[in-house]
Amino acid sequence: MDKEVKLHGFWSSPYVYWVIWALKLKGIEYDYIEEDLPNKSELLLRYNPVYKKVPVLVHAGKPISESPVILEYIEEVWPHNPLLPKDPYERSVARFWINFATDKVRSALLSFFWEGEDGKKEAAEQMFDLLKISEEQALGDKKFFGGNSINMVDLIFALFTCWIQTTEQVVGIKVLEPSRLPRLHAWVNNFKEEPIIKENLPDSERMVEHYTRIRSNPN
Amino acid sequence: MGSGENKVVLHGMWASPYVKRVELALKIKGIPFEYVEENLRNKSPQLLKYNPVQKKVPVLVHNGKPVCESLVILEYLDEVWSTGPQLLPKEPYQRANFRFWAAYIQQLLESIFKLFNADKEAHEKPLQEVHEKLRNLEDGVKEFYFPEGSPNHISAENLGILDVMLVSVLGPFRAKEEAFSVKILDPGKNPLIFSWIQALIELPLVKEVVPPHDKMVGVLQFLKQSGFKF
Repeated sequence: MDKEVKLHGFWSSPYVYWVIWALKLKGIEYDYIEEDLPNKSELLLRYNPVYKKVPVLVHAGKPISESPVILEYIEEVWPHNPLLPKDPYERSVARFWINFATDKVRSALLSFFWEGEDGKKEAAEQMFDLLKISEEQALGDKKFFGGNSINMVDLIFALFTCWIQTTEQVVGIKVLEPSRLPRLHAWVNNFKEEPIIKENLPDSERMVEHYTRIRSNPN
Repeated sequence: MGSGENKVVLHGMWASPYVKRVELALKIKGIPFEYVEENLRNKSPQLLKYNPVQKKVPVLVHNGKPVCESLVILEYLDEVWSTGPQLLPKEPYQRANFRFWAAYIQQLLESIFKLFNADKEAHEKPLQEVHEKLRNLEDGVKEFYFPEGSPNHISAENLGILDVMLVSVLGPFRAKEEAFSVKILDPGKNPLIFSWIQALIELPLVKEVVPPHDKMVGVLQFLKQSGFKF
């Protein structure tokens, strides 16, 4: 049966998972369309002509692109089970960290992934610095970035789970070690155990295979 | 509005496009504020306390509490000062559209920075990227923002987040073109964006915010010569 909400995605994309988790945490039913990324569907190209990327959320026929924009839209249209704090100041703090993760953390992770033999140690150190800032300033002594329960900030920082773990394996350098980042390490385990998250994580072996292939064959 | 109820302080730097966004937004919304000019080579202890993570401007301090990151600040302003002029529309799909294009205008700025960082001999590719983004922006906003066609005049009451973003990036476009000897905005190629920014920079409110031409050319050239990475 045709559902009102559709999501165009790709199984290994963290940005797609952000949207999947948001939809499932709010109990929103949707149709999922797996895109074959080298051969993007015509629909995808029509829905997202500017970036031609996933995720794209389609609600009642209207497309929304860019995962942070999609998440804000979901939060506004389906405000139950809120993923952002109610208080405007607290929201601004959450948005600061969301911006930090989507901007700084994401580029550092990409650099860490793509750097060759010469640059990878430095890229790993830069990655570690951001992890430390996230642990000390964003997480602090809380169980989750959102406090006692997960919120949008936790979803975005999921880059520190499967995606950093995969990168560590593919590149051959560990950065998120329990001895160096105990609280963040605990958060990774707690996050992955959360209901809904637990049932919606990419397969780690498949991830390593996929990203190893991409790294040795960028085209 | 009592003086104790809503104390707003903006820490900024006169040439920063990110600061300009917040300045213009505050003026559009009629929010009185105190401005603190930061010397970025000698940052105030306050700035370092308010933005320990990035140590950057702009920082908006509202009743002693800091808000950082220009787009985060803009959202905050709309939520707290929710009556009066709004930067974002009310309807969720329109909000998503405006957020998408606001973020795209930021992408345009990043492409302009790539152009600034390139050597003179390697201008062609980054310049092409800027022109491509301008084209996408023009095609993207045309239908929903300027359904009547290129504007001759814009009313100060109708300014929103897209106008704020455009002013921050293209307000000083002539200074950027002069400092780097490039043509960024061609009225033939981007008639809509050209008319749009022209209409905006004529507004007294916007004139207060856009840095003076010669001063801007000077600082851009100085930064480039010092090997600054934009």
